[in-house]
Amino acid sequence: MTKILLTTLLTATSLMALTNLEIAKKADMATDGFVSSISKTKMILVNASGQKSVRDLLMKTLEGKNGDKTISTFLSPADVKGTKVLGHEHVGRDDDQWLYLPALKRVKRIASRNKSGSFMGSEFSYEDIGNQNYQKYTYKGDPEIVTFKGMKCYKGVRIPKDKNTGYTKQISWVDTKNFLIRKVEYYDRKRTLLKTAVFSGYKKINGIWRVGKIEMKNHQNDKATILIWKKDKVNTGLSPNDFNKRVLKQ
Amino acid sequence: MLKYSLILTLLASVLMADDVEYKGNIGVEASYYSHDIPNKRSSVSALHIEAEWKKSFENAQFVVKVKGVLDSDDKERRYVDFNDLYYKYKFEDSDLQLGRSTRFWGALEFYNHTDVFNTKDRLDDPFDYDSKIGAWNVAYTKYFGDDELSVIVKVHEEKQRIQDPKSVYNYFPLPYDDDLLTQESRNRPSFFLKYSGTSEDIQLDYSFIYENGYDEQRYMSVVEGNLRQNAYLVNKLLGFATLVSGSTIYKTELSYTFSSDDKVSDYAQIGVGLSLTTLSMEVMSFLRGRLLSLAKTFFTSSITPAPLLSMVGNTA
Repeated sequence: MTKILLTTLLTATSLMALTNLEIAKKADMATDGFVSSISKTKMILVNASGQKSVRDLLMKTLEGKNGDKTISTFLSPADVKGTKVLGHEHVGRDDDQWLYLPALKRVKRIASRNKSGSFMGSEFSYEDIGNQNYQKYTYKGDPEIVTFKGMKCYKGVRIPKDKNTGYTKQISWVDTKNFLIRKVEYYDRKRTLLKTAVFSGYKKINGIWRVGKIEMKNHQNDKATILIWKKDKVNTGLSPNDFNKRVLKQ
Repeated sequence: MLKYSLILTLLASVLMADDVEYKGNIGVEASYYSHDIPNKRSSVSALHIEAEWKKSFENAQFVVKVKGVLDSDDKERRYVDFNDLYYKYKFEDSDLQLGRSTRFWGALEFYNHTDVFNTKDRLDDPFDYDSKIGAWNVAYTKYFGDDELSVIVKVHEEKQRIQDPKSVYNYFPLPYDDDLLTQESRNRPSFFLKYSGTSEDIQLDYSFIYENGYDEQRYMSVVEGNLRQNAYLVNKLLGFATLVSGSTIYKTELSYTFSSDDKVSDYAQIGVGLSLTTLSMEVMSFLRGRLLSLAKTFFTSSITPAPLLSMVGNTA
């Protein structure tokens, strides 16, 4: 009995010893280190009446010290096929973003400051899709231990540092076992709950945790977007040249 | 005959190859014009077909794009054209392209006066400024990260056909003969030197182009009772840029043309554009010798990433 009590006490102490910042740092580390990735993703848009439309995406990412580089290409349906978005993230200044639309035939630079804008008409904003580096947030209060879908999680509050953010705060649920993010609640500029993202289907690829599915539910318009990773490769050998503007026209 | 045999042979080899990426669309054009102009049709109906095949090799790419129009009344608008039919070989930091192709230059949304490489296709929708006739050319491009330097040699001037006299888009007072008159040979090469760059410190994309060759603009003359187009030689300096500052996008296009034809003076063109979250405005000026005309303003719903997509989706 003493042994059980001691073990419980030690576990509880070790769980509570971490700050929100340390948890966020560990959560970041849990999914970092993929160097580069190529993913085939299904994006399911669900409107308020439950009707679905499906888009297929090819997403390439290159990790970088000063921010990731990403290029997303729409593979289907036919009306958006060939549309590409290239993003170069930067620390301390606005990201660079370019858009290529087959109908326009030209590469267009687009304003990245509107981070709360919808990513391709989905419930994900550009901010949600971008790198979730722990340094992009400040952390408030102490973490709580809560249970989410049978998993013990750290529940903590993080506040985006970016002055152009669409959120006043986010509440995250981080798995105590492996520091994987399980759920995030997003609060809008009026401080009301805007969206909830649920992360699932994690699997290890070459020793790196990769998410398999994200369901983003918008509580204010009742729309939802589901991202499902169909194929996912890490350490793919992509180089910075694969994220140059010229790639958009190829 | 030899040209068409070569085209068909190349096309057949592409179509029969494995791993060919292809896409296309079929559209029906139906329009009605209310007018009281004698001997002009009031309606247009036509079938449009566009198809693209792309075969990629390890270091190369072969691209074929074909456009076909079949008008129910206008016999001039019954044609098939290979606007893109080229082979591109990719080196480590450069590429070489040979064949017929269309290029799209400019920063503004409404009209690009720096988009001078191809001859416009007047048989298609006259208001679609991106409807072009492919040009035979050789191009070498050297890449420096996001910057690039291209040397392009266009080897032939395309003639421009127009819709038949009963079309409301044919507004000429005399019969039109599409046989092009040129200052020198039609095969006199036009040289283009283009540098495109991206700033590291600010959100700026820019391009500069120098051209020595035939101007994309042409003038008309009457020859034996027919109107004919004249292509004249120019030295042309062009530039266009896009700057993002906060949530505002500034765009500009500039050009200055030194004409070597006595009938055409030197001229300048300036276009500026401003895109905010809910407003897009572009103003263009056209100067030929002295400031003459043209200022156009238009409004669109938005230019931020997602609305832009929906706007273009509707257009497409």
